[in-house]
Amino acid sequence: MNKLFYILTFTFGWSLSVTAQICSIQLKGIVNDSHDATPVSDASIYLSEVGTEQWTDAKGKFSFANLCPGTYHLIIQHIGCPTKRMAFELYADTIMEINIEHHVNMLHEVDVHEHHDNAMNEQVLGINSMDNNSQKSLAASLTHVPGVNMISNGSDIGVPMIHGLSGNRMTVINNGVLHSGQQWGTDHSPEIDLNSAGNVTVVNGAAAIRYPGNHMGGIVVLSPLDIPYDPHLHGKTRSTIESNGRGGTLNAQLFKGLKRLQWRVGTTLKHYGDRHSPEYYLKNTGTKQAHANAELRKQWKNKLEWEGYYNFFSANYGILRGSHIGNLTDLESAFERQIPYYTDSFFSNALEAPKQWVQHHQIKSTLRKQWNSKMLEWNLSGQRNQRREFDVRRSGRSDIPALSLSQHSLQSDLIFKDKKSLEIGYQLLGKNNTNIPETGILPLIPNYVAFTNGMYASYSRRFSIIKIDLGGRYDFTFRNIAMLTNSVPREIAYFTNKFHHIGFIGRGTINVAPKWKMLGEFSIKQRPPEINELYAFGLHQGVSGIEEGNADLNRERGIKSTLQLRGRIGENIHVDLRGYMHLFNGYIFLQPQSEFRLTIRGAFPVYTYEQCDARLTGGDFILKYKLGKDWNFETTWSYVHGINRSIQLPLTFMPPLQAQYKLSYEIPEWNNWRNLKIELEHEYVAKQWHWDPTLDFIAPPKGYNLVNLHMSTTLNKWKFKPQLRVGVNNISNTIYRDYLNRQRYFADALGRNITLSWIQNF
Amino acid sequence: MKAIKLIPLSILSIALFSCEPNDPVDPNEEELITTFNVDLEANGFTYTLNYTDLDGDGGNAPILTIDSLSANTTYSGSITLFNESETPTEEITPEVFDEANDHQFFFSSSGSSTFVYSDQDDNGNPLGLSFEVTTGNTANETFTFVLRHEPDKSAAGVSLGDITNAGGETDIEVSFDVIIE
Repeated sequence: MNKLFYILTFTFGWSLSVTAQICSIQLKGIVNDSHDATPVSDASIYLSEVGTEQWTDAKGKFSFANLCPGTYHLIIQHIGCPTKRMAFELYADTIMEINIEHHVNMLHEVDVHEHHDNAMNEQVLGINSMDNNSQKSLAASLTHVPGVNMISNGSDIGVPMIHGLSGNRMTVINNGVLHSGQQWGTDHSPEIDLNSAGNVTVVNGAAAIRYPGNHMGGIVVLSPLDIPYDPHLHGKTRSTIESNGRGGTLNAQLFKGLKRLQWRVGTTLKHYGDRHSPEYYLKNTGTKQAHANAELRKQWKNKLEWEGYYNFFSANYGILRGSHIGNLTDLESAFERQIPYYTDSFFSNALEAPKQWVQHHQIKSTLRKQWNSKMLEWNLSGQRNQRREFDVRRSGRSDIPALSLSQHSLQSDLIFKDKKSLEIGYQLLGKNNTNIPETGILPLIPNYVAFTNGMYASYSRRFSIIKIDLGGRYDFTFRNIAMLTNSVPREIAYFTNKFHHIGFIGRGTINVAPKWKMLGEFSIKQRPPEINELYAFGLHQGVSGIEEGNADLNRERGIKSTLQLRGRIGENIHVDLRGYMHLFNGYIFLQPQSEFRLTIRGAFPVYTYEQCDARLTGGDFILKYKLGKDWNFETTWSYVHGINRSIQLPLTFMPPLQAQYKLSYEIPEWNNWRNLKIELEHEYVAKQWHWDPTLDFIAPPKGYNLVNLHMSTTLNKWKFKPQLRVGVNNISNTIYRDYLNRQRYFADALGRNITLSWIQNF
Repeated sequence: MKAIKLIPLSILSIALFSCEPNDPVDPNEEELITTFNVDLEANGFTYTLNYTDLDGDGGNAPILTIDSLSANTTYSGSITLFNESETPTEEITPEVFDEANDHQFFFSSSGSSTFVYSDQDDNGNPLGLSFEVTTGNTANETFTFVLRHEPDKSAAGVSLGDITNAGGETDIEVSFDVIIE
């Protein structure tokens, strides 16, 4: 061979031969699917500097001729794959091998590969989904993941719910750090902008053992993307405007990846006014939100790495004016209204009380040393969380928060990994939560300092066709509490909490047949009662009643068993079926008391935290069917059945049966349009038939059907090739209310929404 | 090497973190209404309906003081509001009076007694800090007083004292079992 063939891959860098010639260099390449190394045909390969486009042939090959030496950028696009950019220097004839992540065409997901074991019982929102959901809240972006729902209070305040568990039972991990805010309120959204992450993973099983927190079921993990090697400055903007709320979201990122130093900065701005239900404006439901993040990564020659990360988030959320109530009579009269009180006939951008203001800072440092196949990592992070909630009050006090909390937290982790088989970690978490005494209202939760000392170990090993994962964790939580009593005059009472809690997980993944995989998982989890469950006292608008903690609560203990089967039928059908049963001892829930509390403002329902034995049984089902070359069909179903075993009655706020159908048509090329995708989607949410009338004010709303249409394409025009997307949600402007949205007591959910997005890589 | 040097720093930063929570500060609940007082005057005598709940929501039950009224008599009523959890006691009535446009009292009786407003806000709509009540025949009746914040005073019937379409948040809702003799 007189030529040296060097293989270039995106992740491992590049190389070149020495036989340079002036402007007669040939660039040849092959595009493979990174999952199974099969060639990818019909991928568009664009050489920016020359401005020419090529298509890969049936063998995944492409070639450019007569190139001059220099630095080039290739842009690789393929249906269902995130657009990929590569920078490389060309001095001589070169052959490249390009691997692309062919995730979104889900038929490829099932390929039975070693590194896909972890993907069982996990779901990832990749770049494409992030681009398409950039305007949504974190919780809303996850609602299309089977088994994930959202507990919400209006349009932008939402908390993810995984397999029926939310709030204190759900944990968000942002960049390896336990997100520390005021998770106890179902109307407290995680203080994170979706755009600050590169991808989001919902972890239901074993991988969750390495994270501290109270997650009984799943966790949501936000991770930054790698910054690929490229000596030039690159970036991305995502701009979206929406008709409902008459607002938009703008996200911009800049990054640069040098050999041993990479950095990225990003920011998001969001502004929406009053949303619109099919028939009326939802007064005071606007959002103003901003986010900024910066990260820096540095590697040294001796495999020492450092990463620094900073994230800032700030938001103002309006809450439907007609949902703020004085007492039980007000609440009942609000239920009877067809149109909520205070509804205006015009659009407004104003954000007034009731509203929430939140601000969050996160800073993190990671130091990592690798040697042989071992790795030692040390993380140190700090967070500051501020939350102010404003109610409608007398004498100009609406500008004074009714709830004002400030929280500082610290986390330090020391993690040792041996290849991928053994991992040991130690974690120390500290949290200081203080009520700012500006409110003029007795605080709902006391001041406290909490420490958690945790350690875990996990081990995995493959024995021929079976892979075993084992993990265990132990945590000790210590809290010092200082609480104002409700006696006259007010006094300070001090309490101390000490809880030991453990976790264990075991799972096996078996290749039951070619292209079929089965997962069996068993886990034990415990969590200490949270501060609000123990000590809350006062009127909580989030539950429309007086909430009382119960200092006698004990640990909540859960045992979950999961069975999952995933595989392919023929070449065109992909099936994923998952069933689980989650048994609880001491499940903590809010029990309405039989008597109303008489106050000068009239009667209020009273809720006290109690414990019971509970059982959550559920399942998720995914079917993907490739109907033809360009047509794909997908359906997902999920259901959870929750029961209080102590009294054999339903648990409250469990997600009802849901189904989605998606039909999509994809063509690689049409005139100047690339990767044209048209997607018709039908969402069905059933009525929650399984409910306990003593635990809710009114019956669950009836089931509903929504139809959505999305069209996306990349315009192969100009040098910058814009990616465009048009979407219409709730096309028929259907009137509906969602069981898991607290606003259902007062108003209809959102009407038709037209979305226009422009995503630009540069 | 660097990692090892930084570990004491991490321990130090955790140690700087106090183990004791900040002592909560009494939030000075100046908005709290502990006492709702109605003075009813007729023929030179004053009768009182009083609701007092010093510790606010929860805790000890409220104390109600209720004078008996005479049948078929017109009383001129005036309402005063206090926060007695403060020292000295703070009168809240002026806060309602100053925001008369955003407040309205509603009166109702389970029997045949009737209420009419005798005051107005700047827009000529009723407020209800002053009113007249005319009792019916001898009976046991329940009088209910409701103070709404930000009601829709222009909604149908609201300026005549009908609460049905008023909306707004309830700041006060107190009932008295009154003996009319």
